[in-house]
Amino acid sequence: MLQIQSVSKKFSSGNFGVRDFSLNLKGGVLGMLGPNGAGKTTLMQMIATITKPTAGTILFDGDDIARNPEPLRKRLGYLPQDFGVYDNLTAQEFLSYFAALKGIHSKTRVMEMLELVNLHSVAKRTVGGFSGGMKQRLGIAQALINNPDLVIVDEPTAGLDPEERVRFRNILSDIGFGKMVILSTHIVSDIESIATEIAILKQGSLAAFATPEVLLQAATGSVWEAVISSETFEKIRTTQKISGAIRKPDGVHVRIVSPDKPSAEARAVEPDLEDAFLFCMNFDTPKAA
Amino acid sequence: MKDSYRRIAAIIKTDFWIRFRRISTIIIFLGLSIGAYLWIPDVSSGKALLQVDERRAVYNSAALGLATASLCTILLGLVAYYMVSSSIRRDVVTRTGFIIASTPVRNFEYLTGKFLGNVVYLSALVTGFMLSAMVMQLVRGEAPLQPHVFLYHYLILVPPMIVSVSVLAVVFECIPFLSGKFGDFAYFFVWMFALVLIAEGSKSAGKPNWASYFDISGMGMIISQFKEITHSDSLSIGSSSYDQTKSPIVFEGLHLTRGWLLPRLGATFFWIPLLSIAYLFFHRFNPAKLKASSQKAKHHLFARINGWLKPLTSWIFSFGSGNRRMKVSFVRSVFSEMRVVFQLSPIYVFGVIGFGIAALLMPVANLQRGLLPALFAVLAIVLADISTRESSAGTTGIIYAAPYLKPDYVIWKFAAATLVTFSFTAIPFVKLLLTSLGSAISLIVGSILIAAAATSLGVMSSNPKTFIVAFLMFWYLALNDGGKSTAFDFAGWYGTATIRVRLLYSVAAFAMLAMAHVVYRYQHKRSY
Repeated sequence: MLQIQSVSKKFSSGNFGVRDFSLNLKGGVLGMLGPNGAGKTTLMQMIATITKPTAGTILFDGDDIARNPEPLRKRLGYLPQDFGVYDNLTAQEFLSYFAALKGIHSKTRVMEMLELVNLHSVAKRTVGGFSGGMKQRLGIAQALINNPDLVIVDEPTAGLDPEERVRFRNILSDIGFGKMVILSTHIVSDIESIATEIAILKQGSLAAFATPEVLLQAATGSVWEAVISSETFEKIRTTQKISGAIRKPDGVHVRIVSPDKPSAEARAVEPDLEDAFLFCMNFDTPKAA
Repeated sequence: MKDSYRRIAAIIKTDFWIRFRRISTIIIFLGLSIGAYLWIPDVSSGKALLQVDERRAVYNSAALGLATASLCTILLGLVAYYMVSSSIRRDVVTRTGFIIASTPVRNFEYLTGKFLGNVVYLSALVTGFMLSAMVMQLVRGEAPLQPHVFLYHYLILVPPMIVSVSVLAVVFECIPFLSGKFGDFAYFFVWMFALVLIAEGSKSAGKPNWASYFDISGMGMIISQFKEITHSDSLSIGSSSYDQTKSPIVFEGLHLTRGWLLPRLGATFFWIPLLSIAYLFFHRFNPAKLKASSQKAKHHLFARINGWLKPLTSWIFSFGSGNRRMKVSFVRSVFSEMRVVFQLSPIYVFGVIGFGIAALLMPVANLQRGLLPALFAVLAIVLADISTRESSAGTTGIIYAAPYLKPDYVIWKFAAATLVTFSFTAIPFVKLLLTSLGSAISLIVGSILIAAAATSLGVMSSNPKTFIVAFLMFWYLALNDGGKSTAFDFAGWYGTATIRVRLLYSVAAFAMLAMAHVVYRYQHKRSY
């Protein structure tokens, strides 16, 4: 179990990266949503024992990981944002290196991980020539090689094409069983199908922590669709929260997130997770799960 | 404990392969092989590698092993630091450091692995050089090759250099203000100071003194033991003329007596406790500490000076920025690139002004022997990252999207580097033109050579250190030569260069640029 208790991270500039954040996680996939600068990466780095909180505690199975990070590090897999590689190493060498650092010395295990992420055919190729998607898959392979109980992946799909994103999502979905996975992103569709719980961060604080169903319920009655003219669309795009807009011959079909009916012709529709995220960021915060 | 060794071994192995497969390693190996060829001249040429009182030493394994090991420690001692520094920075830049920080690897394991990785890599380079020297004995030797004798001398002389460089590379990387360009520059003076210790160590007559315990080159031991044998102070290591009327001497080898064993061990192991400084300062990839050290870097002296000077240089460069007269795009691009160099580091503008004023006020002799060497040392820093800026800043794609630059990248960079160099050397050139036409022409040739070297080595290795190291080594050899050899007067420092020398350097500049263009086209084909 992961217990994050009133954790804050204050930088030397006086700014807070994370402020008074509390959350308990028993298992499953936690999707962490938030805009850029919300504090997702800072929080994940604290959980991954890379940096310490300036206030509060983080307990993993009862151990304070700031005071004693070693037990968690043996059971942790971490993939940072904007992950890079050593260009001159082959995929097998690269993975073997991180496996060794985690206490895994089995070549068979290395090859198993390469097969899991579909890189076994390029095991002997230098990673400098890999595409972005291949590098990310290599990154997830190193995060899983020690069969961790806690997997932290920070914006793993940033910069990937749609096919690679689906592939990545499937890998994470498969590993989610029996493990605790924390996945941060600002792309809602990445976690829509795999997250069992969602935490929404806003300016370093926890804005919402709930199951997807609770978030969707909170946004029910606040999502509207309307068909409007282009001129009207240009007027309202800065005053309303628009979660989608498609131009068709009969006008602009907009999807608006608002607690109040935005116009007479608007009709209420069922929210999706993108709508729920916008609603939470701008209007209300559902109760914790 | 077993896991600890395995983690350290993994770090050593990975660091070794990452470095060994770099282009710069090939360049260094080639350089060392060429060095072995040049430093072991054919004795019929009137030059020899090792001589005492102008009597040359017979080319046996003891003489060649000792002399090449000694040259290796002094010259590789400079180059080696730049080969192995930035190992920790690599993990920061690739963000693999964050992964490493989240594993059970302990700080001392990581730093020990980095240190031993440096040792293994440098040992491989030295072994390559030793093998080249052995080959040269087969080509030019006067006695049978005895590999064990070579190894014996290398083991006595080289380990302190390997260990000291390996430790300092790790320590400098961990201390914020030493981890960047300033540390690269500072190490050069550490190396120069080490040479001073050599001089101190050589003052004893056969017995080690206090300086012997810090003598990383072992030169003190060599000179002391030669004094015992030959009763002479005159020892020369390095290709130089000998008196052909005097009979050669047969050197049997160094004696590692009990009296010298402790100083050699001391010179080797004295450095290792300094790793504790690295341990104290190591950030373990904590983003808060990394950010703090980059903030400190922004506030260190040079960065602050650049900040103060920025408004002044912005004003200077505001002139001509709307100039529509330069219609040809490529030329405009060259001037833009030159401008960027000064805008990024405004202190260079004041360097140009300062050197110009000094050149005007100094007598010509002082200008040549004093000012020009200093100016070229500064130019090594100024020019080093002109051709590597895009790859480090990630703006290559943007540059390639601009007209003319992609196909003519090497020429563009060379032209800009040459303009930057000329801005520093213009006034010295004019002054030399009035007094010594030959030296003035040599200065032009030297300016073109340094610009070509900076451009080509930067393009080929994508690392500014390759040029800094290669050039500073050449700079030291030229300075040390003091004008005795016309071949080293590459930039009019001594007024001894012949037309042939100038032509050869011009050809060398052109050859470097041509090679860089070929490599660039090949790299371009692979990655774009």
